[in-house]
Amino acid sequence: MSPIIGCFRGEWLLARKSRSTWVLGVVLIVLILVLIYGAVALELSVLLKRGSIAATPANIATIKGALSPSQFLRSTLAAFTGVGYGNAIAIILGVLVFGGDYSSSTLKMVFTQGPSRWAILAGKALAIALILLVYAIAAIAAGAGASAVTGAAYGLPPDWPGIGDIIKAGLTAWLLMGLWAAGGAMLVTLFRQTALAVGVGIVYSIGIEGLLLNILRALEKVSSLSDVERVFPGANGAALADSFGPKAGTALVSPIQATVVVIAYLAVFLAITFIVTQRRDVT
Amino acid sequence: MHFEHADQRGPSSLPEPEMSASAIARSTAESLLVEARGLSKRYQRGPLAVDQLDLDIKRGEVYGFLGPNGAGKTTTIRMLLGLIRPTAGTATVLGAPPGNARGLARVGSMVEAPAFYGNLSGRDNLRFCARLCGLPDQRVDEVLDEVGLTSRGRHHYTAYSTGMKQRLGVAAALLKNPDLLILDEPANGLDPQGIVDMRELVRRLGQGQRTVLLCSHLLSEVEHVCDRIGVLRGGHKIAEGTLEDLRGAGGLLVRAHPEADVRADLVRLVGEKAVSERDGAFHLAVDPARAGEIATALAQAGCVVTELRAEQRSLEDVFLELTEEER
Repeated sequence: MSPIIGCFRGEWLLARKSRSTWVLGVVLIVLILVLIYGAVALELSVLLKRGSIAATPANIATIKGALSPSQFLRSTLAAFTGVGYGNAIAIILGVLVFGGDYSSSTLKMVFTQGPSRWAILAGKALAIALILLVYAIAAIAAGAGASAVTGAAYGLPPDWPGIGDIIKAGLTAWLLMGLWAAGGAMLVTLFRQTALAVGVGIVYSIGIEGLLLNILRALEKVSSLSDVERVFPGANGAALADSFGPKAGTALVSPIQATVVVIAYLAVFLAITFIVTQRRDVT
Repeated sequence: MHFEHADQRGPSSLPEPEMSASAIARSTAESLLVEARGLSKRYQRGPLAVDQLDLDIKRGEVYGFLGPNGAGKTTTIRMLLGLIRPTAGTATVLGAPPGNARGLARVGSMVEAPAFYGNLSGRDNLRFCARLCGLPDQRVDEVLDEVGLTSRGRHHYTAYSTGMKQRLGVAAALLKNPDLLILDEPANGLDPQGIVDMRELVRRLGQGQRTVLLCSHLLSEVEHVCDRIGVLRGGHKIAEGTLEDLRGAGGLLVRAHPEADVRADLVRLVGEKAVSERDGAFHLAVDPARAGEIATALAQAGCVVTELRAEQRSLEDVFLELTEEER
């Protein structure tokens, strides 16, 4: 048996037996249901009932669109962009799988079992990839289920996207979570502390990048910095998710470029993780 | 990490002159499981933890690494397992560079306190290790049985006592049925019965062709178990040999009076350097076979001999003597 397969089987055992794997998955699904579909449905019902000034036909159509089966892919993928908690969950998972050994002091035990450090890290990466694939499938399924319910409740037409688009959206969710999980893995490898890595990762994904982009957009008025925006991981991830929605034509970058940039970041994060771990003294 | 020079072997390991170069390499690799030359480690912004250490551990022996805290024992073990990179020197473990997967596949180890996943049972922790090594779960049950943890295997690791954690650490080290077993302070934190049990286990494991490197600061542990002992102090190996080698030839203990006359006679008989006095007795660094000659001479000089017997230095005496400088 290849050492990488053996390491993957070991990591998969750990992941299956770890409460955090299950809890994070459940939290992701609950948040998609509550914060995307639940919150939007609540907003729509408030608008419809009170007949407020914001209850314009355009507004109502937009909100209904977000709840409709035809746009469920974009609505679900919102969980993995901007302030989406899907990013945070992926970062936490990456930190826990790659950095759990720092907090439990098990690194020495793991690195003296036999396989090379490369094989052990590759096993971890494969285990995370499989967990995230399950998360992505569950997220798309949850989004479909929720939009079926809200669509039926508000009498929206059941115009479901094609199976090809659904698969592409699932892969997009997988890729975006992979990006942030790899970021978490890199941070915990650099810091050797799970708490610090989770904190820095989440603050960056949810706050810092958005802040930087806003500053750049403000500066664009006096100088041309639009190209800089195109290299941020979060901005490219958002562009990738937007390609499934009605605003596809107005995205910052094309879906292909966004995919390339996201994969490049993922590869760089993993490369840094592997190289630093390979060269590090384990004391 | 293999530190490229593998040709500086000690005289004891030199093969017969007519052997071919490949046969020499094979023979040495097979008889010496651990070979280190000039191994040194300086931590960042820290002292020189290990300094120019040469080490040869032969197949089938139980080698004890003895030294006070901070002597460099654990650092050496970490270097041999590839956990840390030496600042200088070369080493091979089972003919492979330290940390190389080929060598590690035949090395079982427990470095310092055992560390496992608290959310898993003891058995699942071993299943994790077995999967990393590509071993079947059946092997897990065998080693649990070997260390006497079968009945507690399904309990969470966090519920284990210190002794059970140590035994689980040994079980993990045994999973691969290794040729070389490296145990760093396996009796740490154990109660007296636990220490005795661990000593028996190590003794049993060291029987046959398996080689054991036992690192400890517990003299009794090393004294009862090891075939050969290396003493480290301040990162240097200051002594090495069998227990008998380290103890030396022994000597004589004499209690007699009047003390002034006895001392004068003893100095005349064996020389001043060989006579020391402590705890109301004279200790003579001479061949114990001279007891009759000394008893006769003292009696003829009118001294009253109340006790005369051969004495063997304990490992503790040797250790304290060797490490005295540091204290």
